[in-house]
Amino acid sequence: MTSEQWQRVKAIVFEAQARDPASRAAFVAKACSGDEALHREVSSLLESIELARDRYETPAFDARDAGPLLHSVIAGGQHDASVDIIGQRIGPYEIQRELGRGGMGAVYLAARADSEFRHEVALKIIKRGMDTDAIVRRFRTERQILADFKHPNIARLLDGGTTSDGLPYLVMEYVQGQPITAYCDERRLGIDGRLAIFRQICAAVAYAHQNLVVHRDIKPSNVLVSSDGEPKLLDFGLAKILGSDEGVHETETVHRWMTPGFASPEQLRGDRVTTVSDVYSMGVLLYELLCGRRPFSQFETEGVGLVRAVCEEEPEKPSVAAACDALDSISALRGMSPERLLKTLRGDLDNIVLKALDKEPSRRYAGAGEFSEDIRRLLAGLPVSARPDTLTYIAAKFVRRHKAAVVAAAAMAVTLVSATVITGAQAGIARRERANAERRFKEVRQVANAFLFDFHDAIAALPGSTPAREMVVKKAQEYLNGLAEEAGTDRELLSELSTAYLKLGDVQGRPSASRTGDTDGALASYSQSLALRRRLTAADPGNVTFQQDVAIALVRIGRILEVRGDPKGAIERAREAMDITQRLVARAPSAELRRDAFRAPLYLGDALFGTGDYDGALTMFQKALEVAETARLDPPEADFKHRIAVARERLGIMFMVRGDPVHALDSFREALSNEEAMSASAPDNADYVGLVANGYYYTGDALGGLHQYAEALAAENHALALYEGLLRADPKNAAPRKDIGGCTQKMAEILLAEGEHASAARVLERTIAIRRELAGHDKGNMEYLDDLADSLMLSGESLLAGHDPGRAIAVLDEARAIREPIVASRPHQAVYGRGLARLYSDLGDASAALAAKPANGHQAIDRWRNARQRYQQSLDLWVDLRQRHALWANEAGKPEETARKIAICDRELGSG
Amino acid sequence: MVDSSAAQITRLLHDWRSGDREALDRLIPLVYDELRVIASRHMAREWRGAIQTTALVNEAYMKLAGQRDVDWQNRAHFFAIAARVMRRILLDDARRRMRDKRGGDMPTIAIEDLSVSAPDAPVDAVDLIAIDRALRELERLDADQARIVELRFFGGMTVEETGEVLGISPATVKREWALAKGWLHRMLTTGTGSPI
Repeated sequence: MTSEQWQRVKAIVFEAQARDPASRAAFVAKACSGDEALHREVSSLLESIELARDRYETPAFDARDAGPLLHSVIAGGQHDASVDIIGQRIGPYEIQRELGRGGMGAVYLAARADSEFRHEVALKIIKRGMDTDAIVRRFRTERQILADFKHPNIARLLDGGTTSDGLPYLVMEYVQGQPITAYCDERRLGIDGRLAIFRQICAAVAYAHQNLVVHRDIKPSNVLVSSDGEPKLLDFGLAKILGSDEGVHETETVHRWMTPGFASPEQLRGDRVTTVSDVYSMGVLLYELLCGRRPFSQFETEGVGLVRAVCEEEPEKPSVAAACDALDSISALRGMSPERLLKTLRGDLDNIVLKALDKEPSRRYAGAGEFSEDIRRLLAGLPVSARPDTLTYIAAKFVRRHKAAVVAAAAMAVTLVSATVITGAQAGIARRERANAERRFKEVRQVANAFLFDFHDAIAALPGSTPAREMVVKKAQEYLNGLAEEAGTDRELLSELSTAYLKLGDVQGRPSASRTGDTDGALASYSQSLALRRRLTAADPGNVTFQQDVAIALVRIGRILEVRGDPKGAIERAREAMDITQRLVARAPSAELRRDAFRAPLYLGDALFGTGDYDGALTMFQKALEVAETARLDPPEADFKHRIAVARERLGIMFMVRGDPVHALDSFREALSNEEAMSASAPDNADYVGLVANGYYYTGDALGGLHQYAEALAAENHALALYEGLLRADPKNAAPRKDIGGCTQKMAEILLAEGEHASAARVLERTIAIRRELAGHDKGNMEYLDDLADSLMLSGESLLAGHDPGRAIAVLDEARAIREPIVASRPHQAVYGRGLARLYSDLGDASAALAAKPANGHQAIDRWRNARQRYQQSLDLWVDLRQRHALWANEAGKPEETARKIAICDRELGSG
Repeated sequence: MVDSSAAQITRLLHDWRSGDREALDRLIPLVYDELRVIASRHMAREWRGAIQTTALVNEAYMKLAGQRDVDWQNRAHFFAIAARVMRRILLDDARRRMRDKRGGDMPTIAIEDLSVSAPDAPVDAVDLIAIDRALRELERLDADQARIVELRFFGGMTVEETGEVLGISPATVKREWALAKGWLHRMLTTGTGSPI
């Protein structure tokens, strides 16, 4: 029918409708006047109008079943407003039909029109609105690389050009298949099958990465699986061709461009995109394959909410995400029961996925090959490299550990009491009293000399001297206390007495030289010393030596207070000492004062660290390093190397706290080289050996943080050998025993990270035994108890990972019994609070794991309640730490993570 | 961000009303994305309930054109675009579902496949594809009438709104609409355009 004819038809129809039904037929007949066809048309139309009167009134969208539309709407791509191009020719290709639509444009099936053999390709026409010139330009650059790609699992990019409309197009190998997610779901593929296919994709991605091509847009629709099970990656390198020029970050373009949920945090932020960004996207893909959901889907499926979540929130473990309302259908699509699915996902698989999804790119798998390898190990029943946070740096512990030995100048000679001649001023004393005074003075001198000769630091530094010291300590204590009562106002005497007390305190518990661990006694002695010295400065304010002495005593006390778990007190003392020494060294620097000026900020830093003031601590350590450098004279001062080593080690610890193992390793290595130099020049010095051992310990720790496990273990073994040597030489010495405990703990962590469960368990047993013993001996020492709790926690965590939540709870409860009172009495100490927060979380996990085991309903409810209680306790602590800005880099998401666990418990309890 | 796209939308709408057909091409992608997002959100929340096309498009309009712009004419034109977009969305979905059923190839609709739906019964995939085909036939025959169908059936526009967009009186709209429906219905049930 032509338009004119149609207009005529319309005219008649409208006219007929205006008439009443009775006269309608007659009118029509007359109007058509003999044209049969016209008459038929009009009549049938009029009839159809009647039939259709009530139809099509509801808009199509409203009337539809909304469900299926949801998927199409969400998955639907951009409309390019182009006229139907099927059948048209683009370049040498003829368009056959549409294959689909995506974010970039539409894809069509096409074939070469000039070829004998029907060679099918996929032709992608890029939507209007993207910069044509730039795309074509970039395509030319990339084409050679991409065209050379030859991998069975990568769809090749063949050609490109511009349509007559000016739209760029790309020609790719035509891949027939389903998106990998649909493929697996349809066939009800189990986890093993899914992992197998995934590994093939890993191989393809690894190949591309070797050729320095990053995909940037890995997602299910870009991974098609043909009916014979071969997966193929599409659109490799297209993201780069089609993306905006480097340096231009239009948020809108970025977000519209990227597939929500698959883009890595750094991509969303516009940071550098590297091969590990692909690892992230593969992690999301694996996540969806395993548990049927995407990470962060509980936040939003797209838009600003999702972007924020990807950049800031921690994803739920796949095993947790699967345990949602749709668990039944999710597990059905994987051909297994819900219980079995959760069991399979928990543990290693969870950890593997989460490692790939780490927000910190350097913490993910370094490449697709490594990713695949870990999966292979899992499938082969071998342990995997991905671990939960057992390698989290618990730096404060190490500071505490090594306050013992890391402190500067073990060999610092304290101002020795030199013989002071009784001045003539005392000549007026009555003869009886003079004789008395002389006698006493001699006695003091004897004691002091006893320290001088028998307990000179040089001698004290030799191994094997501890039993001797115990004897002398006891005697000296009695004697000095007696003398102090009678000291009167004799300044020289008082001064010597104060020094004697100081030395006594050193022997009792100064955490530097080889010692027995008696911090109570040490504190008492040091306090006596300080009291005496304050009296002296009050009596003679201009005396520099007296003031120096006060600073020295303050520093000693501060150190002890820290060890005993009173950082506020320690900070107070350290600050005062620092003020004094700074004032003194500025006025008249001397070797001694420089030494003291070095120690003061160091100790203050330690104390600040203990309360969680990491910025303050860092400033202090840097200051200490500065001061240490001032001793770089020519020739340098005796303990210059020692100070540098100590300051470097502290800084290394700070780097670890900030999650920067690279710089930490540098610092630790420099410290170690200094320490080795010191020990080489004085091979019999037991303290130096201890320092070297510490150096290896720390180095091993940083290596562990960099996942260089073999090297890390080597370093730890070296440290262990040295500590054991020290212990053999001086079996009653507490310090090496403590160090051995710490060293073996670290080794256990590394072994666990490597998957050597059995070895780790053995090492842990030894650690726990050592630490129990130490804690039993020296009850005032918080460090020992906390160390023990640490090992118990690690043991609990590994039991949990080994699916033995029952035993895990037992072990963790013991740790809890230790930690709770500590935290209760020292709420301001971040290190203890964080340890307890983790502990509660572990207990929650264990309870939850137990609750998931088959049991009667009652038991399950109780366990869920228990888990919830523990998680809540954990959450409270995390929130507190956050408010105090004492959360470490890798703990930032802990509050939210814990809150989600609580939500899961609530759900279980609600449905129970 | 809302501001810049609001200004953009307004300008494009204005241009289109003034006869710039290119403006339509540029408008549709913007509208498409927004509608897609809003629709999916509606779906997620009320996915067993009825969703009103007008509510959907209205929300998109508020979002894109900004609430300040209550210019009736612009809004009506926006709806007109939305109608075209909705048609595309629905058709894409329908084709996808058909493809899934038949495993790949786009089907040709055989007469036996057609189901004559009861009044106001849910429109399913087959119907939609057929309707779209028929509509394209109608477009060749009578572009204005086909437009009316698009605006009302896919865009959910009222008679008044449709008249506003096309520049015709509501009475004319009603008349044309009735005839178009009749033509479509005959096309769908008998498979023929006309006996002529």
